[in-house]
Amino acid sequence: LEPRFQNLFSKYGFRLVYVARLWPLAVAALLVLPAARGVAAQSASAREVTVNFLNQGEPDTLDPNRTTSAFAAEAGVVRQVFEPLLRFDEHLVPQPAAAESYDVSPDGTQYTFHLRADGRWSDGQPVTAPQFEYSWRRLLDPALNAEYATFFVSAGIDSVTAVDDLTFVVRLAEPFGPLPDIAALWVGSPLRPDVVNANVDGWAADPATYVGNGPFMVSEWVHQDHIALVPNPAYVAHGVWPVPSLTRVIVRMQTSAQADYAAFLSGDRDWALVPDAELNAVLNDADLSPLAQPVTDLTTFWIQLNTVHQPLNNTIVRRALAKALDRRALVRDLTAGVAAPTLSVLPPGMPGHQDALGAELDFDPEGARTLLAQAGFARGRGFPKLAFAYPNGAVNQRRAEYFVARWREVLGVDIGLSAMPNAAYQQALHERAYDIAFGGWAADYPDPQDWFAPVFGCQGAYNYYAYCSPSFDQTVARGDTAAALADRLVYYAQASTQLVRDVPVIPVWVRGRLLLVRPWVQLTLTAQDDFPGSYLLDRVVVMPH
Amino acid sequence: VTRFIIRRILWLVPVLLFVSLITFTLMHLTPGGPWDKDKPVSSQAVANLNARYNLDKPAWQQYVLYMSNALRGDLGPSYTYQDRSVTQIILGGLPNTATLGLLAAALAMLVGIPLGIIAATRQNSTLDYAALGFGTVFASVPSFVLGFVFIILFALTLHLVPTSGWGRPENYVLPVLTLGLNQAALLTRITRASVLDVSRQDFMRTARAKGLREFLLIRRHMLKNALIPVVTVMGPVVALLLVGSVIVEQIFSIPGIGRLLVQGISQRDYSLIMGTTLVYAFVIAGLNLVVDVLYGFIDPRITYR
Repeated sequence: LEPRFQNLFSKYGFRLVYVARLWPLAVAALLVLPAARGVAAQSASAREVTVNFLNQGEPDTLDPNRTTSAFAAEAGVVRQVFEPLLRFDEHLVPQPAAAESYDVSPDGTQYTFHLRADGRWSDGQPVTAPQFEYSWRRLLDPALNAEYATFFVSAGIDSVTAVDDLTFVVRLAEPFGPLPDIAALWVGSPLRPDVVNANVDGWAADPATYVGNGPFMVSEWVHQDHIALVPNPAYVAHGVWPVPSLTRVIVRMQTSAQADYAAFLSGDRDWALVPDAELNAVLNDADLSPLAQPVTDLTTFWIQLNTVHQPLNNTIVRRALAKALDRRALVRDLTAGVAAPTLSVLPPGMPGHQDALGAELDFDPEGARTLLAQAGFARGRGFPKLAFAYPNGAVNQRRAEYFVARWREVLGVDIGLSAMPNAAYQQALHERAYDIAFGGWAADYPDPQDWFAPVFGCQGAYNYYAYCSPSFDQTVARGDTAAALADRLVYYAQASTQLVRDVPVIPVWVRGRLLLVRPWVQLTLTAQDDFPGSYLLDRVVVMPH
Repeated sequence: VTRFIIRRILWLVPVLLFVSLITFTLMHLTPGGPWDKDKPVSSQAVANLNARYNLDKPAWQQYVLYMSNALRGDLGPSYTYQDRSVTQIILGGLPNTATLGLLAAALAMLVGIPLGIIAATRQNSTLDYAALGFGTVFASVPSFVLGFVFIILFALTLHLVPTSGWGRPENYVLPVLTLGLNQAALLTRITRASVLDVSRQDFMRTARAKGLREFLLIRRHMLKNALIPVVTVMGPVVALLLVGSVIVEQIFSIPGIGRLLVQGISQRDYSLIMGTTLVYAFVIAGLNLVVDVLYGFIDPRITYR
């Protein structure tokens, strides 16, 4: 999944935290409005929470098969209502969920999932293997146009069969290591043919027919406003999965990050994300900073280089650009220190991440200048005029200016800025009509397979760098098809090392966000949370307060 | 009067056809289509989708198909919200936009007209200057600034009302103030100017010379004449309130049709754009009709033909 660079949420750049400066006005208003009644901090029930998971607005659909990648936030709701064969725990290990166990055939091409006998839908019906077969077939049917089906297609699924009511078999064309991760994606949740066929287009829009087998169910859907979740009474604790402790969750659909943050300040949210523009203000605020929790996730931001454009086709030039950036300083200056500097592609928390990898790309102004001179551009002389492309927006502009200034400072090269509307930016990337641009990758599931072939492979759909190395592709293919994770990680380590050597992208930082959480709320966070806390909502605990 | 109204209602048909035709043309001329997303969609999928939404047919056929369905109240399937029809979506949002718009219109009238009259009858007094100041400030501060100032002041500092949301009475306060005060300012200025204009007329001097009490003078002679321009602007004012709600709905996250229109445009959801535009056009044309009819009650000199 590509991270979004549009600055969707800061249309209204007001610094709400500087409320204190408006005291004179407030006093005036107090005189006008005597009956000041506090509406804040009154929660109806102690175990009810309000949170803005749907920060991209009304979900397009809550049909698990059809959720769209552009609005993956809606998965935050689907994941509560449905339980796939496996589910990721807080360490992002796929754990038995609707299945109580699974076996892999010795050649790695056949997965047999054994379903729990006590799995129940919210209407009391048993969860059965044919319901999984129905769902996976529907997902893989091109007529459904399911965006997330690509993961199931690229896994090379040959057939899916319900052998009996509790046995579900997946056959693959060739071994595919991350299949358990795929089986843990919400898109492959079971579906009830009777429910879907009774109202093909509308079953997922009506809480009455939106039955699931997960820990929560939708009790109310007020369009454009909120969705209410309550525990599914038919759901029983099993394996590592508890019954939810929360009695009700109000999921808001506020698209403005500023407005959501304001709602937290006024007491209408139990936890919320801090908008970029407010990071420093919150960290320096005596009341708010104790509530702040920095979280990083499986998203790496990098600067992507068009490796066929002169002089970026020279690896030495790419390495010089990488060594000219002080990651620690730019994380401090551009993200208020919330992000984590990085020198390699795989972020911490991903299997295969290596802390020490990429040291040769670390900040070294002298070394960078030497490399540039070696490439024939001593002190930047004769360096062609390149452009840094970015989508319009204040945050992107500030970042692009910052990078260009550092390169000028350290290497003496003059790189121009090229701002464009997001659609044009996407097009420039797809057509490789750019020199230097922002880029990055967010894990779709916590397996390194997701990070190499699609992004850096010669045929990769997201390889915007025109980077193509047959030896890299071979290494990655071995990693994707080997059986044991330990074996696969050896190949992925080789691939990571090659990316550090070839520098198609300059890794910059791992995304970090700042969360504000009420003192009485305990979240269980994973590095894969689209909205922090939305992954393991069944583990969120509200203490008496 | 009945014949006038019937004729005007019949006129709505060509007006709506014209609006729909322009919207349809502009929408299809705008670069980018509903399937241009960050993630590339396969050509097979695009073909399937185009067939489902009739986009594979020539443009004129699409238009004719759409309009014939629209006449039967079916505004088509939404491109974004796959599980609901546009008619359902709009019917869900319209009551909220209407509530917001009507409350704001009521506020605008209740504040703007009396304030304008008071200001004019006490011209150049402190009260007049205060009213003028109100009129200038709230007419010039855009709603996305005013909305956030109100949030900071009333929600975050004073904790009187919630910052956003919809459904409970306390949710209505800030959006209605934000939307209504701007138009109240406009009405204040227009009422004041119009009352001043009328009060300088000869018949006012005559009435005053006859010794009519000031209250009766204002009520019988001045208001009736002074309110004609005010009624004229009420149509556009209510229309502005409906259109202005697009921004206010965003700020306060109100589930109305203004937000739907904005989302529809940014996601090239053709049927949602057409549907919301037609509803807006219908409401605005209808309001103008109401205003035209109201003229007759205020000014008997106006006849309907």
